[in-house]
Amino acid sequence: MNPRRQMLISAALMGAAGALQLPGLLRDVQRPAADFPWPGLIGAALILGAALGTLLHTLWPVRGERPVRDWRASLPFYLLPTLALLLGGALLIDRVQAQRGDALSLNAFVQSAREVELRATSCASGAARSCTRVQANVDGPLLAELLQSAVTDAGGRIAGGALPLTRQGDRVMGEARVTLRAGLRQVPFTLRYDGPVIVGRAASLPDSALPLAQATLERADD
Amino acid sequence: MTERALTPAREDGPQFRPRPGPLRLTLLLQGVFLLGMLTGLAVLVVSSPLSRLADRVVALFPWWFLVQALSFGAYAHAYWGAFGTLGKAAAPLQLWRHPELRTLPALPPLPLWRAALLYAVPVALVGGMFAWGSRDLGAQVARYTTNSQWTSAARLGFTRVSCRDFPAGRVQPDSLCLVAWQDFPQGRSFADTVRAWVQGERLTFTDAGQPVEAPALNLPFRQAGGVTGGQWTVPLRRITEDDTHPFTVTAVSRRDPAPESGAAPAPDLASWLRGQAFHSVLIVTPGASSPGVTAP
Repeated sequence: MNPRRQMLISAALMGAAGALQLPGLLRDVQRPAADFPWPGLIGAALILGAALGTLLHTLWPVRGERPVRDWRASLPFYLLPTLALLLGGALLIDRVQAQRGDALSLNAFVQSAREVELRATSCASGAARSCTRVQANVDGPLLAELLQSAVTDAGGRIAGGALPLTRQGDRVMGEARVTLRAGLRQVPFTLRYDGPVIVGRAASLPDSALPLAQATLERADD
Repeated sequence: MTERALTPAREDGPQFRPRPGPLRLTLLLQGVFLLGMLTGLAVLVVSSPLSRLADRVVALFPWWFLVQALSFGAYAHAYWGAFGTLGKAAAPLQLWRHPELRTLPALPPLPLWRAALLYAVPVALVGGMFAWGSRDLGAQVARYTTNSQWTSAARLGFTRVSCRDFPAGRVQPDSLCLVAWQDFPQGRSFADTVRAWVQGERLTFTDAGQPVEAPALNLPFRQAGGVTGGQWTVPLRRITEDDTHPFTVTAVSRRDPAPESGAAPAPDLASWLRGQAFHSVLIVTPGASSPGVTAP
């Protein structure tokens, strides 16, 4: 077998392997997660870039004699398609993710809120803005701590670093601006939360259950 | 097909054979990898998924990446210097199909530092992968453990609160602070509720049916100054692990007044509790507390 035919077979095999990777990458893009699918994209770009590179290396120039090249001369054949696939794929995925950035970052927040045992419910207000509500049977200060770790785990940032708490009677409440990640972009949100005070409370505790501590996360203006 | 027989004799055929030692090492490592993986997969197929054996096999899985990394290093060592030119050194399959190629001169030996680098780079990559994979797992395990302890205590009538207003010295940043102000379910006393919670956190879950109950601990409750309670270091279950870890459990209540017995449990906590609207606290802190605590 001559080297050219071997290289064409390699290109076909690598192309098939790359094609097998694409469904996984598509699933990564479609699933409602806020992280950018770097591993899938890099894997697909590397193997498809290698397949295209092998093809170009074998068949370039299309007419005329193809010289025997050493590895330095053949490197651009592999690097250029790989970089083009990486950049083009990143741009394409970013455009897809930007279209539903609010939903992605809200979903990421809900996921990490569940990790700290906050229950997510739908927003009561029929507002057009993206919004989510979480609640838990805890006191207000603990709700703020749990929200802080939920935001940090979702890859978000809180303006001012910590969640402020204002006490009014036997309740604490607060409002903060947070930015959540959606792919490569940052989406601004407003986080409002309030909850009962249990430790250091003036009034006595009721026999029935206390009102739940709850928070709403609403899309803010850019 | 006629070409194949001609290949070794042709002018542009391979001029070298790979360095024999590293090539043998590559083949050996690939054989170890293949046999080990197949054995492991066979064990996983026939064993039950939660058994210790399956656990060990799964725990072994990342180390196969290390075997592969060493194998890549050995392959690079065997062929370094011939990678740039297609067909300069005979490939393993060529050597297998054409034994006469094995008489070609071997590639010249590499300087030691370069050979070491060829092994070090893939091993370092796998090491980076390990480091990335094990990042923050401790925090994750601690959080899931805290969540599970919270859930089971909530079922017994406790409510989780922030630890920030608790007396300093009694809580750590990773403590779980629970309070109760209503009657406990089934009319249990505070001491029975805490004992039930500790027993619940000492269950072992296996795939062999019902969870296994650990032998009951002797948790002495002392009464003095209108409160009942105590502080103990108890071994509790941690999520994702087989074994138990010591946790410091502090329980104080002013709900069940009883005749005094011994010294007051946690006096600072007791006086603080008298000013609160709830009647019971339960504090769970990972790690053993200072010596002098009654450890069962």
